Amino acid sequence: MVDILAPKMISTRVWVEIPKIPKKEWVRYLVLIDWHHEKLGDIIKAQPSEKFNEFVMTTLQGYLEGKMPSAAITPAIMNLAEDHIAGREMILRAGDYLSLQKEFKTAR
Amino acid sequence: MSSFEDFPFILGWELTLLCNFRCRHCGSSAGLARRGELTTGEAITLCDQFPDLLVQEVDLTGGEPLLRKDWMVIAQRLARHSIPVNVLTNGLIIDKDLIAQLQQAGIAGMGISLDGLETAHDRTRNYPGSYRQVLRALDLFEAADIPYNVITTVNKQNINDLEQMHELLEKVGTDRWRLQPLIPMGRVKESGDLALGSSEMRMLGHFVRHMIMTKKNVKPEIICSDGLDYVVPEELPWRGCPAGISSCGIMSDGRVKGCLSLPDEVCEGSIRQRSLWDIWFDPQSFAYTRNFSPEQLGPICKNCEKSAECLGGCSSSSYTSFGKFHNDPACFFRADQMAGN
Repeated sequence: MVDILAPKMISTRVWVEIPKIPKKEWVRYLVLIDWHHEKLGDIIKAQPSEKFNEFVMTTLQGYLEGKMPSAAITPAIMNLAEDHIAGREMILRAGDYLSLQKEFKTAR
Repeated sequence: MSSFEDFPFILGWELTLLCNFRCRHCGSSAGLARRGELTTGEAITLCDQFPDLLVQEVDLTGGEPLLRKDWMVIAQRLARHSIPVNVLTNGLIIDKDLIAQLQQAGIAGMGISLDGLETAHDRTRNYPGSYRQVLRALDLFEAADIPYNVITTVNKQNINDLEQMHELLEKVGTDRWRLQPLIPMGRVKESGDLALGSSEMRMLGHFVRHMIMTKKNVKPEIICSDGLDYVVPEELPWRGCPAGISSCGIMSDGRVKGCLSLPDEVCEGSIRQRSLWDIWFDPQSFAYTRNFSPEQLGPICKNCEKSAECLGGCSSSSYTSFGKFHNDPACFFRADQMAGN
């Protein structure tokens, strides 16, 4: 069993990777003061809500303790577990994030 | 769950339709507050939905958003979620006290409207002295080191002011100047002398091109919108309307649009009936941009060589002009092609 809150854990937060917004997708009425000059990478790392994070962390911890999540979110949790075990920051792709959100909203 | 995997990164939020001006060019016909505008509690609940939707920026607009008494409460709630907040204002009530409040609320930046030199601006606003007040507001932003964009809605009444406006803004110290062609909606329809024709669209585009090409390092930097893309040829292709793809608009009564510049009837539901998440990820929502196919291109755009890139341009301009999407008349590329360039 792996304790996901152990000191070696580099993060107890999940992040979501989303593609950066091309300049050409700016909207006419918006201000976008900072983004214009920001050097954005290929992705934006966004942080979902605390409650969602708690749900993911609890589910991940359960998985690491041998409790399988529902089939719909198993791949997403396995991907996170892989990040965690490798000591990497835990980053979700959009598809995994959406499946976890669906489960999260159903569970509430 | 739909296979749609995009998020409303940029959210325009009409806090109130209440306004202290009755501008002739106002696409929202702002003046009185809408019936049943969101309560403070509803607004806070909405703010709390944004992190899971991965919202990256909220732009508070109106009406005049700063007339809403709880704007600071809303802005501070968003700041708690680490979401940058910008405010779009007409500048009339900006004074030192309000600057302090903006700083206290952690506002990331301001957008302020300047719609011509003094005569044109005051006439458009129907308010003598409003031009002077904008200049005072700019001075206050500069003194307080608050980042801001000046936003000019270009119309027939101010198109000849642009060069002098650039000189003025250079003197003021403005870093960024956003130019957007007028969209013929709202109160504009009652003012027949404002809408741009193809010749004015070309004039505007060539002004921007001239300024960008010849004054690369001169402030203010000009930022183009929508149909003004294509002005600088080497730029990446314009990918068309982002409404419902990466942007979303919330009306002050809780109805949801892809873009606040769209007419009110083009809404996808209300956050009073469903969560913003459910509206955003509803497979039926925002069909005009999400389910585009080339057959939908209107006569203006269907034979254009750029149509595969911009998908028929600005939805708002297209819909307000013709009642259909993908048929944008306010396009510099088209205007220039028509003139044989």
